[in-house]
Amino acid sequence: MVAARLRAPSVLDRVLTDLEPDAVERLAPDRARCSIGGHRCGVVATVRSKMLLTLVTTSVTVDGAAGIATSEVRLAHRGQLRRGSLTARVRRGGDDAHAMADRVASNDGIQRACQHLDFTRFWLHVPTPGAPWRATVALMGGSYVATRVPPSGRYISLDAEQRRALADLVGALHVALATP
Amino acid sequence: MATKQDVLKQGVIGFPTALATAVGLIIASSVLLTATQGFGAGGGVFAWAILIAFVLMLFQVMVFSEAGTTLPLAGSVYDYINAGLGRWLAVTGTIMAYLVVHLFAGTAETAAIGLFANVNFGFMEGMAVEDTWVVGVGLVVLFGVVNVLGVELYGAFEVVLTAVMWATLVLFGIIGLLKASDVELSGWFGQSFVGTDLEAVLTLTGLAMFLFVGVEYVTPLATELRDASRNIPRAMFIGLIAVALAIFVYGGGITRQVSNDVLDPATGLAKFDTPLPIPEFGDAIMGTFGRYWLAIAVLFAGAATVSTLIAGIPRILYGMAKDGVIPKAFAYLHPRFKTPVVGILVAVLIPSIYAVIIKGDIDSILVLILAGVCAWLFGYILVNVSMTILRLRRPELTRPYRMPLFPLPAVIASAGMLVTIWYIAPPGITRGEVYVRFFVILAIVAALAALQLVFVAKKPLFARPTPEELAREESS
Repeated sequence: MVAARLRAPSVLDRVLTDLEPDAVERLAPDRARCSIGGHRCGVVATVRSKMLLTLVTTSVTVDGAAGIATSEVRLAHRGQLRRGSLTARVRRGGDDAHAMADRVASNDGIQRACQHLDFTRFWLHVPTPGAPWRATVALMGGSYVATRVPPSGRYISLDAEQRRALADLVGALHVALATP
Repeated sequence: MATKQDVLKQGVIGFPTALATAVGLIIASSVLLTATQGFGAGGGVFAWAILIAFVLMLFQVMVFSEAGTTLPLAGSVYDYINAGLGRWLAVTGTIMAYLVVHLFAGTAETAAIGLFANVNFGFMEGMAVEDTWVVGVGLVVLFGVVNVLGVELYGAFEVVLTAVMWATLVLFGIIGLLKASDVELSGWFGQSFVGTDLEAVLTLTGLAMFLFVGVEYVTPLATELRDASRNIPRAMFIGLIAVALAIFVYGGGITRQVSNDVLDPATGLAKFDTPLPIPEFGDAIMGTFGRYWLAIAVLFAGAATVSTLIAGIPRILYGMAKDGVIPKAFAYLHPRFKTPVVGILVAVLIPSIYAVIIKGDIDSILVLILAGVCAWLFGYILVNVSMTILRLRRPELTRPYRMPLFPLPAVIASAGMLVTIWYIAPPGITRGEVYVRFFVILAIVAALAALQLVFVAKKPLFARPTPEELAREESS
């Protein structure tokens, strides 16, 4: 008798397992929708091939209420040794973008969640006037590194602390940006 | 007909990327140094050594193809060894690949970058050889800073860049073969200065193996690769042939266009024992333009190797720290740039310190390369034994690719690699120099792995998880 073929989980499979979402809908090999912190989120696995290195990283997208004007806001922590407060910098847009940035930066829930969440990029944008805002968080965990020198690969998991911080962030974003 | 579930389970990496990863960085400084020195010392004998290495690697690829398609797990070499031989040997073999390869091959590349820059770029000609480490270490530090700042290099151009690197080597080689030559050459690759008997061939096979090791790099991508059971063997076989073709063409071209003059009669130092043939080859092929094209390609390739070490390993160390396997300091991220700075610092220090110590001494670089080859071959032999045991114990496992004429590929590859390890030292280097480095590190790693398993992880040394358990472990 031939045993069933072994199928190891993909990075997206493992991320979805780590997140322990309430509901999961697979849309493509590299993306899924699920519920995090009671809110609908997207999960996207992105492959970045560099010389002798392949990196698969995960981003979580959160869609909210309709925005007003086209905006793009980047968020990053202050500090050189310890994480300071999260600051929001407007990359595109006018008064509405600045208002969105202020609401996010002044929200205690977002500040607290981001103190514990390891992310590499965090940005908010409203692509067109009236479109829902979208937050995108590129995570440090939930990634996979395959190197040639040395020839090996490793999945970097999302632990419980990261999962909780992400859920808190998703909830806090919806509170901060509930209305335009 | 594929169902939606099948489609959703397909990977996100296609065959071109898989092939590019299998071909890898054949124009890296350490590879070119190895190939050039091999052809210079051995001529046609080195060509035979490459052929032997190629055949051994063909059999090795058969084993890896069965391993990679039967156990399509991200752990790759660790899982393949674990499934047949247990955790202790799996940990030992994998750590040898991590630390030893990073220490030896990473250092060799860091040191070789400086040597090549010294001969390739006119403004550096005044720099003494023993000071060339500054260039390599400077590049490592630069990449360290770039990685701390979170700047990503190279982007998504790997497939194109690998193709350009390979095409550069092949193009220069073909022109070198076709162009009229002033060099009096015996045969296609020149005469051998190390003898022409079987032992001479075998003593060069270790060097030749270095040109091919790492072709199995595509196997860790198994979980993300589309149609992995087909693309893994395809990428490895085609990659192996592509590398062999490029090296043969390069060797034939450079020996026809650059004479292997004796530079120092007192020591017998020949031109091909140094990086000097490379810029001369570029000059001979396309004049100044060719010289600088090759110089930039070599620098770029060396920088890519260094960049990979610094970009990849810190993130792996971050993951291990998050899992509690190594100190939590490695999980620290810079507040603004969100980069794993402790891991980056370690990745910068390891090759830099050793590169400073060896101060551009080519023989020391070659000893490092050969010690790295021993570590690789050690891992390969463990994989071969493990896959043989697994085939005997679990014949019913689904094997999308089965090595033909089992167990011949595993036996031939392993026997050939043991012979290669025995004859690892080419003329001018003693076996002891290589073995001291290799075996001391192996003993330390094996002892640490045993202690960690017995006292920390509290797992039996030789217990073999089933393939199903390994797949579940990856899911949990």
